[in-house]
Amino acid sequence: MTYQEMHDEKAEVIQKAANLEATPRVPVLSMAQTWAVAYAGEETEELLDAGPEKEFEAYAKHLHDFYFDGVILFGMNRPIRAYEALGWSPFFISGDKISIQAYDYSSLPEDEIQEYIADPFAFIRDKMLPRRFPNLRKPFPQNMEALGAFAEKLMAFVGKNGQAPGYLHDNVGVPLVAADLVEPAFDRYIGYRGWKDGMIDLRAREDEVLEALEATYPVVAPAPGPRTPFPWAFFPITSVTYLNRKNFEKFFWPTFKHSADAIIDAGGKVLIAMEGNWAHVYDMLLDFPKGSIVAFVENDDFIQTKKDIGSKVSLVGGLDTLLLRNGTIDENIDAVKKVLDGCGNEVIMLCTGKALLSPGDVNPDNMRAVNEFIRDYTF
Amino acid sequence: MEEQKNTMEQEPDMEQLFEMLKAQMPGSDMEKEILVHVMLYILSM
Repeated sequence: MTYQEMHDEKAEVIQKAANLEATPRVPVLSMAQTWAVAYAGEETEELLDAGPEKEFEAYAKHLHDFYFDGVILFGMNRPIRAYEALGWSPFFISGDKISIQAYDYSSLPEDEIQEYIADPFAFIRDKMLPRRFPNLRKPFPQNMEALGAFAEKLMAFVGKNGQAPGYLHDNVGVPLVAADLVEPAFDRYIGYRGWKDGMIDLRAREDEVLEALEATYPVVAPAPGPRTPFPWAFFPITSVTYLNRKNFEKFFWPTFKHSADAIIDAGGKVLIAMEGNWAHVYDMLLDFPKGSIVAFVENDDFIQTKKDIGSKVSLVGGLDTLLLRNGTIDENIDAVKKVLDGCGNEVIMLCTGKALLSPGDVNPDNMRAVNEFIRDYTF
Repeated sequence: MEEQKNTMEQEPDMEQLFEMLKAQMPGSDMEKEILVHVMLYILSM
């Protein structure tokens, strides 16, 4: 079978699972991010300058070496070099020289929230950006040159990302399942305020937060225009595990629902990374049309989640990342067999419950054995 | 760019910098608007 044929066959199986249909095998997806860089024997800093071909080769090595039906993200997903043209980057490479982290800081002071609400784009452009990026505070024309350099590097980064699906199709035989990243307005607003102040706001200035979330929606709204059911729009969501149900319904849900509805109405499907625990709120996903949502389960019990929402929502997850790191092959096979027997061959796609970021996040021998076991398992 | 500088009576503000950037970029007005939107989205992450 050619790479192209492998790609198309795997994409078909994944789409059946997302459509809540029975599948000939349970698809297994990769959530490897910078772990893939370490596995390929590279370092993130060097790979940032290596060019698309070398970057793709590094990220593809684990897809060649282990069995996978799909990959959720592929390649560097933060334009660090573009930010650096402005003198500072909100993302940095960790001490392990592999994983990428974000700074947590406030760029929206309490006494400027109303100004932000009045015109969020003008506020971001005129106040937030010069505060964040030292090169934008330089005199003209240095600030203009820095902005131009950022735009040029950003366009190169976007162009590189645009080549990823074709590279996977022609050279790897594994489809990319996430077409684009979309951010909930709530997570973005909390990011602007800084985590601590943002969460305090939910009690201290309830109405103002609701206004600010509506104002934030156009900043993070999904790109307009028609979509296809595959690949999916991907929402990584970090905030919900810290919200009780009341705050989830009041603050998170309205603008999130608006975003997800826009994607579904345009013909797309939505992949939601339910980071942390969502069992207290995931029944809300049943409000969406059947088969329109793919939910990535991190900490919640995978078999129970399928029982609770699997009638309308397909699921990704079910592999214990810690066990893949520290357990034996037999322990891992036993664990995955329980998931397969508990869920059957419909609605689910198996994947590590956590993104793989650092060099030791999984034992490759376990990953190889588990993925082949899933591929060959008969129901 | 030197020409642009000479026509400025004072240092351009951020809005003017983005307008100058748009003027330098290839593509339609709509494509330029989309790029500026994407830039503001990415820069305020």
